[in-house]
Amino acid sequence: MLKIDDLHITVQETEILKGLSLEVPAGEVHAIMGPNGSGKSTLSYAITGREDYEVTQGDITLDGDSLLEMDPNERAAKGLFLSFQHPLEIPGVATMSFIRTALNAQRKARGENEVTAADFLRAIREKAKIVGLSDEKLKRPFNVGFSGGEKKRMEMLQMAMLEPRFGILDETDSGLDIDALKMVGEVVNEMRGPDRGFLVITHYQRLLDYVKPDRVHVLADGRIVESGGPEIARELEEHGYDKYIQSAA
Amino acid sequence: MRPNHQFTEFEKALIASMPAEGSEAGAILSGTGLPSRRDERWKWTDVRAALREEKQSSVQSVSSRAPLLSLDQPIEFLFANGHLSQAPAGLPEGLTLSRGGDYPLFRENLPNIATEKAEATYVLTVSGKLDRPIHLRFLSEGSGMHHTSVQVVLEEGAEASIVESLEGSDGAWFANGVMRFRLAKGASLERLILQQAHDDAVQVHFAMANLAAGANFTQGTLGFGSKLCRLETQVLHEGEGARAVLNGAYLLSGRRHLDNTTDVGHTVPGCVTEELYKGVLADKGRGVFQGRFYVARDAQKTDARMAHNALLLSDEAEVDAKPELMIYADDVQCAHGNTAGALDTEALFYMRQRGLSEAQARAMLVQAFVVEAFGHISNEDVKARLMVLIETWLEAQS
Ligand SMILES: Nc1ncnc2c1ncn2[C@@H]1O[C@H](COP(=O)(O)OP(=O)(O)OP(=O)(O)O)[C@@H](O)[C@H]1O
Ligand SMILES: [Mg+2]
Repeated sequence: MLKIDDLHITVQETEILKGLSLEVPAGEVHAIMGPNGSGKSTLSYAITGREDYEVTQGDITLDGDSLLEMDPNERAAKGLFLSFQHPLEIPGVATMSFIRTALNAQRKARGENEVTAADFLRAIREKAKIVGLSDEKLKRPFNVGFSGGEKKRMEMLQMAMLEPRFGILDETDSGLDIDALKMVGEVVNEMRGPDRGFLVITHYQRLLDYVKPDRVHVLADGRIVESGGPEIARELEEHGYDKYIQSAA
Repeated sequence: MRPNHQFTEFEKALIASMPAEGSEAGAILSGTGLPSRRDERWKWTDVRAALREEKQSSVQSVSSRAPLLSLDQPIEFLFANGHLSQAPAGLPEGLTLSRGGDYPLFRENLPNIATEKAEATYVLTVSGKLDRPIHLRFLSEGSGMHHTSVQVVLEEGAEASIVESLEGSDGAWFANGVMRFRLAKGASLERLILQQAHDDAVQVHFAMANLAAGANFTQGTLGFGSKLCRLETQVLHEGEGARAVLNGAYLLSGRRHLDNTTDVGHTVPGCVTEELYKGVLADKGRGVFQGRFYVARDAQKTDARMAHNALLLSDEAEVDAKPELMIYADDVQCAHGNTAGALDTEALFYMRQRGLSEAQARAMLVQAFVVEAFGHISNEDVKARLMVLIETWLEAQS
């Protein structure tokens, strides 16, 4: 489904990803762990097409189509979703109308009908309950005055509403309480299916108790340095990244 | 008197058209000419340079057109190239229309010229609470010049709302208007100025508002600029506890120029002024903001705040801002802020990641930026219609 081949990314003249290869087949959930500054968020931005993340070599494909020439919104319409490590506040932008505009823009790009206001309202109320956001929060300008945890809930709400085919969760678990962590697990597990894939970036084994990964990769110094089963996450929890950092240096 | 002033053809013709005797405006004009970059208060808006060729008086008719802003049951007065060509057959109770009124000599001479050259100085007087909005439509067309002068008087405790739309068709016309507002004790006026014109038009629309004790003057502006446009409002707090809100938004594309100048004088204690202008500049748009607060020695407990924020969508756009505080009282709260910046690229990426096109994301962010300047508008319908005008402008940009 998502295939990354020998990816080199340069940000402001510094090479951050140095030949990263990774494949997530449809129906699977892969986890990425790695030390601070190793390039995990850089990878998620490169996949979703953020400006200033220059691809100097390699390719990223989704279902065999290269994403590199696509705009971020085209990639979104093709099914990519990123739960941001640090979600933004957007003052003055109404939450509901933003999410609805996003959903309809994606649908339109795919040649589907727009959702009606009534259907949208019904769906967002239901999903807001699942992620634990009150009606009052939906009426505020986007994320304005939200706590860190509430912003992560808003990311999950958008993922549930947009129903992407491939979701990237960049440290969605950081800063979440236990209930919220379970909620993330619920949302992902509910969406999991043969046509969907997920890439879950995390520092902790904890989230992986709720979202069972098919594979775990270790990213250090811009490359995948090890891949294996869920046992890798437990090993890292115990021993940290020492051996990878040395081997990478 | 300005030494060696070389009068332009326009100035010569304008001077010649002023009454031969007793014209104060004419006397000043013959001495100093039109305001130009050499005048501190006009250094960014050079009227003289924009009007060089001789202009005839405009014909007193224009083709009809749909209003820029449709209001609910407006009391509509239509000025066709300066000529009051349509007025309601009967006026609602509490509103009268007359001619005359007293006029002080303004420090600026263009409004003096407007008063002398207008076909009449109209006076609208409001008593009690007027439920329907007054709509003054100033329609301009052709390549001549025209002048208007309207006074709005609110008697004690009166309440009204007024919309002035400065609209125009193609043409290099020059429209020069003066408005005078006098609010008696406890009166309350909500004013909205809407300006949209073609590239060649030159407009100067000046207003002076005098506020008695406890009066409330709330002003909103939405302007799209023209070849050269200046919207100037001077407010004088003359009675304790008066309150003024001066808000505005402007969106400029092409080579349009819009100057928002405000000058608020606080001469008595306990008055409040809130001012917020939001500008959006695309292409080679040129925005000017001049805001001045004067607080006299006796005007203790004045609370006056001013902010101007500009959003530059293009490297070639330009904005000049001059906030100015002149404070002679010691127990006051006064503040001003001025910023200019570009759209937040991080927010743009976030929104596009969710599926919005670049144009959609930009439009949403621009609207979010501008809408703050409409925070004071109580009528949700009017606010929504202003947002539609902004959307239309945004669509034309992409
Ligand atoms: N826009 C940028 N400008 C300059 N340097 C950047 C930029 N984005 C990322 N970097 C650098 O790239 C490296 C990788 O950053 P990235 O955010 O991808 O790390 P990460 O693995 O997500 O770390 P963390 O676990 O702390 O979230 C860091 O050294 C960072 O400083
Ligand atoms: Mg990161």
